[in-house]
Amino acid sequence: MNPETLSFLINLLAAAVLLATPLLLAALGELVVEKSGVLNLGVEGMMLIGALFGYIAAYNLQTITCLEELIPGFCQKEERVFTTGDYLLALCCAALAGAMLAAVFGFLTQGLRANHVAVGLGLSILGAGLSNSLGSNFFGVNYTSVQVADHPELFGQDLLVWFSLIMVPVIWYVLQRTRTGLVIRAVGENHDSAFALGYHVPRIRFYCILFGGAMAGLAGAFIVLVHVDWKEGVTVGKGWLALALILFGTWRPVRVLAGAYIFGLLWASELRLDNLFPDWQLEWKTILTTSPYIFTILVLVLISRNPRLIHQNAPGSLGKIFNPPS
Amino acid sequence: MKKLLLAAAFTVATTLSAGATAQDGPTKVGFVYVGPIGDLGWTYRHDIGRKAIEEEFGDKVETTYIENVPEGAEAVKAITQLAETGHDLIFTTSFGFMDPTNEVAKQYPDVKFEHATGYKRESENVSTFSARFYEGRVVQGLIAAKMTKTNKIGYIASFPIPEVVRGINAFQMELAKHNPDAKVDVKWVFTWFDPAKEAEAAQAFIDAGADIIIQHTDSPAAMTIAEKTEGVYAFGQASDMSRFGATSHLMSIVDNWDSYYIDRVRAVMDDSWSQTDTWWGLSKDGQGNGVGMVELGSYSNISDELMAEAKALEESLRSGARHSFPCPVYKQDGELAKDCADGKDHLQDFPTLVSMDWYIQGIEGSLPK
Repeated sequence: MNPETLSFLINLLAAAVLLATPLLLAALGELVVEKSGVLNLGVEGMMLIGALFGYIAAYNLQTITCLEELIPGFCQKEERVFTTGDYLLALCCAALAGAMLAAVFGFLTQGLRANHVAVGLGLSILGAGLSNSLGSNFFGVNYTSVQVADHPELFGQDLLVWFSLIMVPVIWYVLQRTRTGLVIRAVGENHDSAFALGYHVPRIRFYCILFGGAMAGLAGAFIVLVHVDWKEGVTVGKGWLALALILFGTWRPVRVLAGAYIFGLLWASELRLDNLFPDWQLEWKTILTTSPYIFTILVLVLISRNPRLIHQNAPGSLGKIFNPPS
Repeated sequence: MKKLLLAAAFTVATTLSAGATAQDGPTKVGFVYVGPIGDLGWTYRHDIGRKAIEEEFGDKVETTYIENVPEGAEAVKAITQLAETGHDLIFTTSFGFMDPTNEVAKQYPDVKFEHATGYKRESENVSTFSARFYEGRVVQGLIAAKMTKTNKIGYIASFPIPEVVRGINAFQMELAKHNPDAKVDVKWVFTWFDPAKEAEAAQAFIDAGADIIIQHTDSPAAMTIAEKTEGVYAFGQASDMSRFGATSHLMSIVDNWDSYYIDRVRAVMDDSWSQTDTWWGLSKDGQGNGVGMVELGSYSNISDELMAEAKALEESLRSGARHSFPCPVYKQDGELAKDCADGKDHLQDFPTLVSMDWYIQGIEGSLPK
């Protein structure tokens, strides 16, 4: 392989990682939520809120620490060195913000037994609107960009990339091999039976929803801290793609991982194949633009023809409202 | 049944009279935006224009906007909503709102519509306006020609519409004049606003050895990527993007809608509004008079000598001493453009520039249809 092709492949893979990681994080969180029988369509909204709060935290930690309003007299207006600890703190803020928004969903669907789809859609709209108005209040529309350029890396990749990859076997193990996972799956499979066995269905689902929100928050934070800066609506539909990815991966973490990287590679190659083949025909490029979507439809058609795949993995009570027998 | 009809007629009558009395209140101006006002690019500048209206007329106007409106059928809903709620003048600010705007305009003959960057005016109450952004591209062509070391320039293009094609061609013409070895590579991303995709396109160019990034998309993402790589420069688009590229920003083409918007609102107020097709560049008339719709902002990271040369070029474009497309202009396949063959000394607005759908010589690849 000549060095030019090699560097092309390395660059392609690097681009794919940037595009795939937020998808993977959000999809893994939502996978656990769906496994517990809850359909939360608010991923996009939770990602945006996570992105905003992660960015605000990093912004404050990196540039100036000025908490005059909170602690009178405490205003340390100087450039700070952005440490790994600061980065982790920003990520925690993002996860927390995502989880807080998810808690609203959890309260409405589990506490008040509202329709999952309606509340989920509402959550996406709320997340987008809230992040826009909070964002413009915080930065003003004219803010100076901060780049969290020195986010800590391990073996050349951001910490979150490794975290997302590690979470694949972890989630698989917890769901398939531990008691906790068994309970989550039982609640998702048949909430009435799980309830009859003495499990508190709404509470278990609520915890899963919080986890899903935290993961979506991290996904949003990755986009604004590692890839681009905060802008209104910066996720541009990634949350919806994460939802499609779970169907694509038939509720299996490893397949979701494969799906995320296939999407990432397709996107990255769309903009890069002409680097390698300058005579690449534009008609083909246009087809490549739509390829992630064509690919999803194709896979959905294929798996829906195979009842084993769907039936084995799709949670039986997905999206159904649980009314405890009185 | 008769009663029902009467009731309906009564409702219509009261609505109409309510409409008439509304004329005495503040003039209501509505905006339909394609992106978020916080995109810091295209929509952001239109919203600055909206604020300029409020500042100019104070209590006499009331402005409303709807942001993030998708192009196509969805836009009909947003435009109708504004027309239905008593707006006197509605600005729709994206090329893809062209058909929806005309469709709604036919149903609301009393409401005035202003559509940006389009060319269809199917009823008397629709005006169109656009800016000659390509005049800024000429200056960018000069700067890029002198700044590039690798002779590779990456052009992030949104959609293959005349406005974008004019920009690419104007840039290439001036570039080839000063640096025949430099090559423009165009990537079509088929979106106006998708920061991650814009950033990814910029990164793909940089990986392929480009050292100048030029964009016709709405967010500053490409600028922030250029800023991360040593020795890579970028041009801003729609707003002044210098604050996103302290060491990489060269110059921004800044849209300035303020004076046009104020003119049009004033026309509605004193009842002198009529259908127009407005196309301002650096100046209003192309002869150096008035503040146009295009500003070249924040020249930076270039030598004093180059800055002087660029500003002189800007001045000659403003005053009309220099046209952006002087003849001879050759198409991609080497054919002489029709206007030039007809003996004109530059490409004409109609029909050549408004419907430009071909590349000029020196650009490789084909234009998506």
